[in-house]
Amino acid sequence: MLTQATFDFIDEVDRLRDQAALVASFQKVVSGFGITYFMVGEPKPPATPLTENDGHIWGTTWPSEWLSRWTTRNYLQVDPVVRHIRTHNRPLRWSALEGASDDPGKRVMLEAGEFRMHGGYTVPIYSRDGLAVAVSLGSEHYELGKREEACLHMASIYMHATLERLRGRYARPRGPKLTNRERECLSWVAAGKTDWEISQILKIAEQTVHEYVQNALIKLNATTRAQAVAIAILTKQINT
Amino acid sequence: MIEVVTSRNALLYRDALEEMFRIRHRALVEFQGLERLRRADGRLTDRFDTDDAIHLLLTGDDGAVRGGLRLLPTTSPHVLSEILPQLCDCKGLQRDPKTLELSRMCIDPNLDFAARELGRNRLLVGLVEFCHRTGYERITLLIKTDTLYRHLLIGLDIKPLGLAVDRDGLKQLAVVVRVTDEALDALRQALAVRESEIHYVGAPHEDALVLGPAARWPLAARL
Repeated sequence: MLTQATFDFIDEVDRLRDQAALVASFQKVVSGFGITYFMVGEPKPPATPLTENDGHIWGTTWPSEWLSRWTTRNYLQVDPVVRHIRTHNRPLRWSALEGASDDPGKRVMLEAGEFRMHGGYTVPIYSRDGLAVAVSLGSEHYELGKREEACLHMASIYMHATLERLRGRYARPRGPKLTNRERECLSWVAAGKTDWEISQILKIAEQTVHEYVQNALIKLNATTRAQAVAIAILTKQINT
Repeated sequence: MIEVVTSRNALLYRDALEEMFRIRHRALVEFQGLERLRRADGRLTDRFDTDDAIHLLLTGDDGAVRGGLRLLPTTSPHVLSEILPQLCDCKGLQRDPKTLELSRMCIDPNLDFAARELGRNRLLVGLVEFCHRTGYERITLLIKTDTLYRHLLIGLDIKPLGLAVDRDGLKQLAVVVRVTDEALDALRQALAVRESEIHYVGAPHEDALVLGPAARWPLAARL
């Protein structure tokens, strides 16, 4: 049963040790749903050309000629699916795009048809910094229903989250980063120095030190210096 | 501070609980717009606010209630078992003495953005720490798919009980979260919250709920 295969995949992701194994396992699950062409990649910001081997494509079963054409002709920028997911946080069934009047976009979809990708479903994964990854699932005859799409959506979420964890990219707390000077001053505060002592060490005015430290407190949402130091250490913005 | 309220010490917290019911209403009805929960008296309670419920109240230094959440034993009727069992149709309802169901988590929307964010982080860490110190091993709850993703990235062990459905205009699903040393470490680090101050006062000496010693950070050796 397809739902069972999805849940089995989710149970086993923790045991997969590297990106290749994870993508292969994911590919096996999606092929069970009749998906022959899948692509997992990081859509770069508009106006940045994507090349075939720059590491932003994590795994794909697209026919190599199509992939080559898609990257060298920079279809990433006109592909209507990609354009849609840049502004919508929801998975998209490609057929829902029917009726788009945009010419270059329509041509991309027609050309995909030449390679037998007639229908599909794309899951955007958003992190705190914006669109992180897109999981694109295509097939010759796309006939998946809501329940199957829910399975694929969930499998995509787990695939990507596990990949991010494997790459060591743990979620950092939201908030502006400290500047070098703010970090420097706060490190001295952590070492027990007063503003005056820090001003002597760094050879800047005491008032300036005070301002750097105050800014750090505001950025870290701290009410006291001790709290700011604790938060900065916890978020690895200063070392002890 | 996190204050634990059960049927055994609820008398001490009558006013605080009232405030929390009003915060629930402000947060879920007025702030989030869930009209189906609106009550004429501005207090959001329901049939699950029973003697079995454990409430965690987030209070400020001045003692004012800033937010809270409700925990229900899964061995008694709870939200997933009574109202949304279909959301657990893949893995089944989780019913056991070491699993609590989380619901009605909210922060006072009258607080400013930074205070709400800080409050939410403190409440979340407080929740996991409370379970860790009282021996509960799992928490089930309903969450949005976006929330699932963010918390998977933190390193929490979260598994779905069923597929996501559309509810209140969002994609939501039932999940189970494991309470472990690693989970608590990861959450404290990601949300920049150190050990929570948790108080369970006024209950009889032989109360069934025993708050164990504070969990020093970090817990897991690899950190």
